[in-house]
Amino acid sequence: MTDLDLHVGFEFPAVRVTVEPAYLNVFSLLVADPNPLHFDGTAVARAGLGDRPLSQGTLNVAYALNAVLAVVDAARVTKFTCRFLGRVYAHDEVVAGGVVTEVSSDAATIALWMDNGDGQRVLTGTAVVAPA
Amino acid sequence: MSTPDLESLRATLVGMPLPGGSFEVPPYRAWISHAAMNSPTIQAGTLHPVWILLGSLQGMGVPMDYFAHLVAADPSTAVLGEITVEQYRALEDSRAYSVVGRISNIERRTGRRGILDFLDFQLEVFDAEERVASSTQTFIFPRQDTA
Repeated sequence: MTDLDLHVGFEFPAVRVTVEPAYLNVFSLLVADPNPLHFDGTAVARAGLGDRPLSQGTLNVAYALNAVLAVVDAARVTKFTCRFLGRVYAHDEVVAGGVVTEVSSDAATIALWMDNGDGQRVLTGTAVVAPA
Repeated sequence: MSTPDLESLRATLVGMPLPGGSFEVPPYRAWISHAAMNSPTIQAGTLHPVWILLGSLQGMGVPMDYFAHLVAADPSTAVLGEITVEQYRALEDSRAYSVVGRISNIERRTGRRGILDFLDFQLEVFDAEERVASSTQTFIFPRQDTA
């Protein structure tokens, strides 16, 4: 073992965030993403996907990683993966967390998750962090 | 919009390099983006790891809807399906990065939701000296054709 401050079973405190439409707009501008599903509710309705803008996948990744970053320095994150399982809409309250599943001499692996306001799992993934 | 033949898509696209380019995140963009992410406090000058995705998408040399046009799909129905990111060194604001990328795979799957095309592309981020991050991202394109 090294100086890793994480152990198997360690649960990162869950983080909650309400998905603000203004932040979806910011993200569309940041990556010049013209997809109207992220900022125009009428386009979402036309696509038959509801009536509120959809959160960008990259923003959902950020929400999930935030549970880890509240505990671990960002520079210690060496790898992360995410699979998107469901949609996150503007005004949803999402909750994200993680649990350490494996610790080796040079890394800890964390299982990430995020649920939407209905309790549906919308994202799973992993994060790997290096020792402090 | 008719669905193109998978084998011809594979022959044309797999291995295709992206133009690439560069990006640099000034402190005000870092601040605004971190606020939009609801990020916990991050060490001054260090970017949230999601900037590996944001920066490389910004610097890959093609717009976000480029891939949809390549596979003749409706760009407004494309969704991000999966990502894998490696961070060899944390990105910093006010630092220039270059991006190199290529399309790495395309697959077609048929399920309850009809026909879906999965397009993978890889992006690598370099500073002046070395590779600092890499990612593989999968876009999913629903096809109008039914299974």
